[in-house]
Amino acid sequence: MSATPPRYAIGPLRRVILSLAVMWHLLASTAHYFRSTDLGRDLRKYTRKYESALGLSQNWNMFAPNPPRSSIWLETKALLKSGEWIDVPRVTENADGPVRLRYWRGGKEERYLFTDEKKGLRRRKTARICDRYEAEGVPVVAVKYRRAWLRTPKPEDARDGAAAKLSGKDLEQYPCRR
Amino acid sequence: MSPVGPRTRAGKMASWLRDLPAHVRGLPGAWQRFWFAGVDARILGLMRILLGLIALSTHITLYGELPFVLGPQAELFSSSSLHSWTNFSIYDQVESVEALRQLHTLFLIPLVLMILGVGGRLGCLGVLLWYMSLHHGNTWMLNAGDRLVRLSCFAMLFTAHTSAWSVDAWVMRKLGRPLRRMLPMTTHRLVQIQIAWMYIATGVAKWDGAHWHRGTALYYTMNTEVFQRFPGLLSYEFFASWPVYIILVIGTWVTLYWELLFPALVLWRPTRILALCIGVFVHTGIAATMMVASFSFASLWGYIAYLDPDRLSRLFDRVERRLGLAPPEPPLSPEAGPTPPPDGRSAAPA
Repeated sequence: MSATPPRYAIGPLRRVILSLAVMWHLLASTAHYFRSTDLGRDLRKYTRKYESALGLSQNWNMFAPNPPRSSIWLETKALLKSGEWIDVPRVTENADGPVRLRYWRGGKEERYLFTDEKKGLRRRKTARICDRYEAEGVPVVAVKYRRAWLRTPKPEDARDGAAAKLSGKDLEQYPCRR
Repeated sequence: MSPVGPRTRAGKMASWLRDLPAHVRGLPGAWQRFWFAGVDARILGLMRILLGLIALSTHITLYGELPFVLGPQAELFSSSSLHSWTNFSIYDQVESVEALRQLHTLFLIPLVLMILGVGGRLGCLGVLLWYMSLHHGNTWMLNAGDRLVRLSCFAMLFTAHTSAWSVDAWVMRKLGRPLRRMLPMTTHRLVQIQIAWMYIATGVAKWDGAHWHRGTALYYTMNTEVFQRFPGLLSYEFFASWPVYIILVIGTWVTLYWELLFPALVLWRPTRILALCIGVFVHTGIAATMMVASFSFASLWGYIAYLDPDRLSRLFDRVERRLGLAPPEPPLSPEAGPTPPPDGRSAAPA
């Protein structure tokens, strides 16, 4: 037995309350981390609301398992009543310069809105673009999207002077609904 | 029959407990030492101020993009608050851009309270609620840094972090009220677990990637145009040139193994220092070359929880003496806790 009784920074009642809170938090975190297992699924029946409210969801897969071999973004064009297609500026376009100091959250849209499962978000984006141009007095008839990507050359090719290859693929077109 | 034998149910229980192996009997004590051993309240004060400043920078930089990313009028609208009441976002309650800006400005109040240390945990709670509103208001626009800050704010709520280096402490001193010099390690432990989990999760995910084993991952990462801080200045030729390329290959392997081994490395002091030094180098490099918002700063903030609290205390003492800020010894709170910790050893950071 220790000669000195253990002493802590807080009293016993607070230790019990904090212990319960910590245990609950760790249980919810564990359930989230192992959500693909049977145990995780069972635990999440009880912890899901807490997890969802606090925003415990975590994804640390950036640049994993492999970093992207290309820079991919979404290009947007708007069709005017005159029949002319104009470029809708990219969110980060005006922010681009030799040095980017500021992080633009809107840039995430350009990076992730090009996949097939994001059609719903593109449709919503269409409505916003139509409203914005309408408010600016430039009525837009339709909006179309294109996935663009810049393929990074392999290091050995880059040493030989190879340039990045720009490619693109047309996505869908949505009419402006009034 | 022995006269002192276990005759009652309580006695049987006590006997059963006594018969447990020593390491099992010691578990409750070990749990309490792990979570509730005392640390200098000034460390929590420093963590509060720095975390508040990181959150403040997020608040300010978000201001210009508000109409685009938040509120029902947002172009990129993806609120999760529509799915459940637990995902409430106050940003969804406003109709106009002007109201959105006013609401956003209101959140400066908890941020300032947190940084200055006014009103106990109220400021930090307000900042956490703000981050939760951001999270539910548009899950799309958030990044890993936001996630770390949100969970760190939550961890901060477990301790009375305005007990030092705060307006609260200054007022208490003026009033002659007792101050807490020591706080439980609960926040430290939660932050340590979060940071260690983050590294091992990303390390395991990268282990399946051929580019990480081949050593080319950092080359491709640096060349991803959308993340580049110097998009026009650093070209493919620069990153592919032999001296730079060799550094990137070594950096790739160091990153992979450092992330995978981080939880083990921080258990022993010499390797902990090595792991944290590599981390400082990696995160500083990321912040200097890539657009990843507050992620690097939030990660480095978490390293404070891994630093030896006794050494930090002595450092603070020296700095305060040198600056002439060392206050007269205030009376200790009944719950002030021991100084130094009871067994005479430092409360281990990990």
